[in-house]
Amino acid sequence: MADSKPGLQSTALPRERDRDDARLVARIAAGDERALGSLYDAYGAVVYGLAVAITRNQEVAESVVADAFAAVWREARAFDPTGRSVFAWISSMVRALALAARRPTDLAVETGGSLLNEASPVGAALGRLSGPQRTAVELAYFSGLPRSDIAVRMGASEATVSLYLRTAMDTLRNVLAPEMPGTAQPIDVTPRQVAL
Amino acid sequence: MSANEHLDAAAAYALGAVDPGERAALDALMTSDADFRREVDRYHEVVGMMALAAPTLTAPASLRQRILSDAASVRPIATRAPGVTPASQGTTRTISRVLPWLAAAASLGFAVFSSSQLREARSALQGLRGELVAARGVLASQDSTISAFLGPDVRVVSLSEGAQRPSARVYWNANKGVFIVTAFNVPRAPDGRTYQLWAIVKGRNPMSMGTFNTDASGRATIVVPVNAELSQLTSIDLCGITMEPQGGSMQPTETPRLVGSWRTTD
Repeated sequence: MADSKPGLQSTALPRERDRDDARLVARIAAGDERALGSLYDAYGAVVYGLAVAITRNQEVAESVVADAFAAVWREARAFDPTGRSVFAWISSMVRALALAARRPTDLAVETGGSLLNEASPVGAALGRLSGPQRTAVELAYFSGLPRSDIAVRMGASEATVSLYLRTAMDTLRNVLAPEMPGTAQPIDVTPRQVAL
Repeated sequence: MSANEHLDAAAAYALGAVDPGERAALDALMTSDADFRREVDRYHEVVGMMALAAPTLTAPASLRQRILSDAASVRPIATRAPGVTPASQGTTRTISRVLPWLAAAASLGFAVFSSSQLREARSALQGLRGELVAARGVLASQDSTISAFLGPDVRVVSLSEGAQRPSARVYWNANKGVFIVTAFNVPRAPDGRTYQLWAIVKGRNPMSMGTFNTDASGRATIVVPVNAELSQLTSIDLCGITMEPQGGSMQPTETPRLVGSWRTTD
């Protein structure tokens, strides 16, 4: 990973990009490859970092990101921007693909170290959680573990883990609220379906 | 389920931190309980933002090219989406401002333009060239899609929920290496979920053919490249559609909602 370096987006939240992103997705839905390139330029480094953090393998991470943007290309017409950011859509796809692409042995090589980029606002927000809340969220988000497995790893009851996850998510939601979509004026980008 | 358990489940579901059995029950709750769905949607946005907590890395330059090459090889069936201002509209407006000057100059037998007017005209010309390239791309895409439907080697599978709606049809053009999926009356998969198409061959695990989602009217028409694994097959027994976590699953996590067997188009 010697050639990797922090990208420009490392401390930026994409909130102010919502409207531009929705327009890009509408252009992608219309078959505009340049728009796909622009969307990649905006978020490629962020989601590549996410894919590497989950898969711990740069080659696999590249495939994951390529597959995710292929899905963006295919599914742009179905994207509904109401109350959801383009970034959240893409990052959730990358996360799901990365978790699916992990080899069984990847679980064994997990270290106990934090995966967070503390310099980012979201990393800082996660840093405000209690130790158990943060551990539970990291195991759920980066390792894709269900509550029952997290409970085993943490030596806690499933109900306690559920509480950790929910209170952590509520805290993050409150801290990040100004950055979330929903307050911006929606624009009409619902793509049309072609009739064959 | 108490109010707190409800919220606990919503947070865990949005994070994907639920067991497969529990997921099925919560999937059903997503369609039947508007409050639960609303909570999950709010947590989904938090989950999406959490990607920013990962270290940002510079991806190899080849990755961008790979993504654009893949896109160029399989274009979506292009339509003009509402809310998109075609570049040509602005160009046309510019041209309409410039044309009277051109006409006046022509009638006088000479042309005197200010540098700003020349810049505007050049910009308009560049815009028109870009539009022409884009239009050619769309036309090529539509030609390519139509030709993929045709030919003696095209096989098709119709998937339905018994005799009831919803339904889908998948065309497999082995020569062109594409599947074309058309879906009708298939409710849009909720946030965090997607439809996944599976090729089922007797004696083998289901193989993913790709993911898709429908629009608000329940329709979808997409072109999916045939991946390397599927390109080795000479026949597929059945095709099924399941709803999976966004990004798709390695194997189906539910019984197919739609299933059908292949036939040739002859």
